[in-house]
Amino acid sequence: MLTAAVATIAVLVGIISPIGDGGLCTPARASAGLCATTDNLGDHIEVGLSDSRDSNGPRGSEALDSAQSTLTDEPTDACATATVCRDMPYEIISVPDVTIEDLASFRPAAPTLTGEPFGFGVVGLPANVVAAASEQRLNGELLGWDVTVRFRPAGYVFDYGDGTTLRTATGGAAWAAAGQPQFTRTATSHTYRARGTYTASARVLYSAAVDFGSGVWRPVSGYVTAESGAYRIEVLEARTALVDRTCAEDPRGPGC
Amino acid sequence: MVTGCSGQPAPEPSTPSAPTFASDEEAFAAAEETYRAYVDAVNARREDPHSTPNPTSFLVGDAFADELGFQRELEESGLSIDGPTQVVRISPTDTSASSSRISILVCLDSSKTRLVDATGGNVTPADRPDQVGAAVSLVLSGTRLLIERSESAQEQVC
Repeated sequence: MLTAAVATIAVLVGIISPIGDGGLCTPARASAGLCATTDNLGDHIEVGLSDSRDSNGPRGSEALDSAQSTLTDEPTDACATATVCRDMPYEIISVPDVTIEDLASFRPAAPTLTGEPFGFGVVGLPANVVAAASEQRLNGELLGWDVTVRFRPAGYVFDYGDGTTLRTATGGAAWAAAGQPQFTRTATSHTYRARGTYTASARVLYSAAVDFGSGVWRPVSGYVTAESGAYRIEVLEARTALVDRTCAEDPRGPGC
Repeated sequence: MVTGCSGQPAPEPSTPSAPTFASDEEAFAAAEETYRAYVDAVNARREDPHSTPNPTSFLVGDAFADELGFQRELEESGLSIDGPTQVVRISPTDTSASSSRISILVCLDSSKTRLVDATGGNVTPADRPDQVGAAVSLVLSGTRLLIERSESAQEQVC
């Protein structure tokens, strides 16, 4: 039960995260815990504590040695920028600021793109196009540190293949899932104005955060994008005609 | 000329007597009054879904679109918010009497609110901060001030 609730919140965070720098903050978002705060953006994280006053002596210095040996793999200027070495009793190591370019080797999965009616649309009526992407966590190494990178879908850019694009915070939902009748407008539907075959695609903008093993997620500014495969839509014109027999009864009838 | 379905002529965009505020203080006071009225309307809606005024009547542009979208996401997830959001303080930023746009900083307290699921269970995130700061900008629309944007404040507000 609790897990389900937490999952719901995670989905909410994923879907509703704004496309914007500051992030939206309204009374409702604040109540749902979705406003960004300034105090979770600290420069330093503690990755280890060692007590130099330990009478067993070597433990503290060993910890420091091992931290420094990690650093000697890096050029000395990295030590100056990446590490703050304070006097005992505590050893505080800060990790470098991560930019979105540093995450080039981490590729979140491409979104899936589908629509309804699948592969078809009707001129002048909304065709529903839905992109699906979810939160992903990838483990790897970044700037010499073991890291977990978390990608969350923060926005979607739909290209409907007829020169129309749409930027949205949601990937959309099927008509049935949204409780709507077919051929009604949705957040991500599109109404084609002319018959033809169109190739739609969608890009998802993932916001990223990194965790260097401390359990603290550090947001990375910027977005990593991933593009869906192509989704072909054949847009037809619908005309109605009154006939006196079905196509089964009269295969040569109009429209059969 | 093409008009919308309201049937009313669009107001002249550059009337010489376009309303502005006599002073920064007056602009800030009007912005504060509008924002407090908006939060009152939001809180009233949490108690009674038919309360008036509709909170969205205080919103325009991005703030309006986001509020509608967010309410829909909540509904689709079977979630709702209980309890009143409180305005701890409102402070001015770069209000300017010559401008029709006013920015304020708002400290919101959510500690008396709960996020509840369809069964009434409390699903408020454990790490939700009680107080958060929002940078809100309002614009003059005719003679009314409307909330146009509401973003997480980059500076310490609360």
